[in-house]
Amino acid sequence: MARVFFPDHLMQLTAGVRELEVHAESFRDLVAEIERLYPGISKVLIGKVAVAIDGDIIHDPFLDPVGPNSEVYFLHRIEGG
Amino acid sequence: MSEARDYKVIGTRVVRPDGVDKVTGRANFGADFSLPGMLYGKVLRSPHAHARIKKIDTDAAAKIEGVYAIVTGADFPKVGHEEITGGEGAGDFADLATNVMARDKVVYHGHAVAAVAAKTSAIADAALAAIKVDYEQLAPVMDLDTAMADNATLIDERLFTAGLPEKPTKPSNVAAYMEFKRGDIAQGFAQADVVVEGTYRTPTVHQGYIEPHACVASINQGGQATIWCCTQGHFDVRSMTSKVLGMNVADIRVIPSEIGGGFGGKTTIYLEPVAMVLSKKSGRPVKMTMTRDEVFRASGPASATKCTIKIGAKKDGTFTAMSAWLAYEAGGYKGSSMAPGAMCVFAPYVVPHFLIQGYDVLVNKPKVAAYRAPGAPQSMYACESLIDDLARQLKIDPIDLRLKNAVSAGSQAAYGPKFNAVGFKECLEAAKKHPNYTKKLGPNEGRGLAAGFWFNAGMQSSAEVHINENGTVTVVEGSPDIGGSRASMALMAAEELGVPYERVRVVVADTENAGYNNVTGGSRVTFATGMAVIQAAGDIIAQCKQRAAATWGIEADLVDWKDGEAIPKPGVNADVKPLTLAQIAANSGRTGGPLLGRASLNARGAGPGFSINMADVRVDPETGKVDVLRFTAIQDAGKAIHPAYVEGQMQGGAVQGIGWALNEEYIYDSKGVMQNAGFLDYRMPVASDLPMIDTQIIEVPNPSHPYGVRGVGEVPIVAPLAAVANAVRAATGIRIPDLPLSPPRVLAALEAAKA
Repeated sequence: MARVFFPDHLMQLTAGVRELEVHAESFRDLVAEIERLYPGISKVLIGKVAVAIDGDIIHDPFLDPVGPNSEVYFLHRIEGG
Repeated sequence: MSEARDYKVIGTRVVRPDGVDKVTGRANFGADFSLPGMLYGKVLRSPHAHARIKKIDTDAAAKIEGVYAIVTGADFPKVGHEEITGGEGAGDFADLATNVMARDKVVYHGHAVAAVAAKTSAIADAALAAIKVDYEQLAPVMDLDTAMADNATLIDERLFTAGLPEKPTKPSNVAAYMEFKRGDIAQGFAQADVVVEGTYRTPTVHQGYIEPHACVASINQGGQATIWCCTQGHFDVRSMTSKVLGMNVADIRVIPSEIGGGFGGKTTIYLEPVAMVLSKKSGRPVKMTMTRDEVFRASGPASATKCTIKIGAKKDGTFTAMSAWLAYEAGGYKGSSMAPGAMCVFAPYVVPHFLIQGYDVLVNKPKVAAYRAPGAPQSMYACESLIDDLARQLKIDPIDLRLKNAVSAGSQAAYGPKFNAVGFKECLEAAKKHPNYTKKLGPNEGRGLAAGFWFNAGMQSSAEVHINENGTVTVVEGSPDIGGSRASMALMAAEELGVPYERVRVVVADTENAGYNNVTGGSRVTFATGMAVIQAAGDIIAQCKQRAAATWGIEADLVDWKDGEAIPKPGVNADVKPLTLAQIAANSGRTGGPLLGRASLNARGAGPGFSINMADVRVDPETGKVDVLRFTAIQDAGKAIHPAYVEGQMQGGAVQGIGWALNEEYIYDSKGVMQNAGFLDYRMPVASDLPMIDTQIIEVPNPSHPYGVRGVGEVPIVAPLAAVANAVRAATGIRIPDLPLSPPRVLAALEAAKA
């Protein structure tokens, strides 16, 4: 099961849950599972935030693989100057 | 994955391919482009920092001979609210549209209210003078304390703070609140032997790029348009212009010029939609160029900030808790770099308990834009200054204190994920061994040290590699070259293909001739576009193997590629001679046609960058003037593709950071009018102000890049602010928390201390 972590600003969408375990093989599947738990959250998780899967920050993730022991952090999107 | 390997051209200091044109004046920048029949566009800007536009009368201006078009906000389509999902500070397309041309209200001095296109620049000036605007002046809100006060004058009466735990009941100048926390902050401070706290302010500063914004726009009767402009991201210019004007993306072609500096400030649009509407109305191409005065008043500077930091530590220096209260000015529209500032502030350190609170605040100043490592210099200036005071209080060497708490591979970043391989400890250890760290200081001299951090970005890139008929190589990419990236791309293509660097040329192509690329920013191009070039070169190698195999009559998987030649794999029984890239290219028409490799990707795994800067300063006790005697920049580059360019980035960032620390600031009068909108009065450091910046590149490879590359362009500006301030503290014995440490401020502090 991948461990998923939400930052404080997204916890308003998860009824205060900061961390949960999700079975998924891709980011798409992971978001679908989270959406099942928290309807409506996928509108934010896809396209409005970035994600770090096992430490690698990814903008616009979708098909990226998620391992059974992966750690997945949602982050504010960073672009830089 | 990166692994140790011997490189043939990576890591060499080759001559940059664009260098000769740039030093001989042949290179074409934004303002150099012209077209037959072209008109000159100019913008009428608000004389007030905050006002309602009651009426604009353009009748007299329209009657001037040689005036072809006049536009106001009424000539632009209404743009609905839609989040710009770029990065930090991106804001809202509706705000972007009204920033380009005000509709019913101006929110900073210099805000565009009308524009004209005329036969000559002088006629355009005369037309601007003839436009009459009736304003209802409002109280300007010019600083964070005023903006955040109860009953403050509201800049946007419809703005409610986003991100608060409780839904707000009344509007506010605070556009957004963000919070990060871990552990139990109260418990963390209770565990501390020492608690220190400080409040620090940084001023509004500008990137100071030498080339002002400039463009030419031309649209035909069929609605197809071309923009020539200087930009860090021509694909972004296309998409933003299409949103602001309601145009089809496919109808806009954007051709980037060479760029005379951007540093984040050229990741958005100002003139391009205005020139386009003027072109549409006049039926002529329209050229627009900002003056330096306009660049200061109407393009995006970096946020002024107010940051309060608190740190708890054990006697041995172990951090037990940290808190940060961070307020960032956004300018007249929401969207500052508060979020990355909040994410970076404690990033270099392991801390079990922390609380970070960030506020994005409207003020009547130009909408801020990105500036190298947006948000990080301000918050980390505050944190690194306080760590310096903590080290002094604990009587611990400032490097040792940082080493004790430094993150390494496996540490959990304050902003969330665990770090993979990072080089922060290696930078600290290099600083400790550096001869500049122990050089003797004289009277009124002091040494300061600080850390820097930036995430670095990946994002979308694409590239093509074309093999010419003689085996030379053309790389086609879409990332404007703002820091020598053409040379880096050529080096990586040469390394992969096994050919000399001089046989590779790189073209930065326009939106119709290159695959999509995200903006040149976030220190991402050498990492992400470089990865696309490496993959496109790999595509070429695969094709060359097939062509060689077909020529030899063997299977492709029996062919190797080595040193620019196809050869049979060891043990393959084939009586053939190696085929060079030139031979395969010369024969390509007979083996399947031209050799064209391509790659596109959404790069993941950008390696975070860390730095340590050391500054030695001398403070004149009679004038308060601070001279930088020595400055040492140490930074983890992962793998330096072109070491001289990495050093150049480190030196450039150091100089900009020194300017931020010592002199640079927007100075406003009581009406919100900037008083120093020119390089004579907005004092950026020049070569004669500074010593040579010493550099040391650390190479802890990024495991997510084939060569181990990390971004290097942004980290260099983060640490200098606190390094210089800590040096001034060491020289004077006085902590001056507000930047810049200009002579009047330092002298006042010295005199106050004497009193």
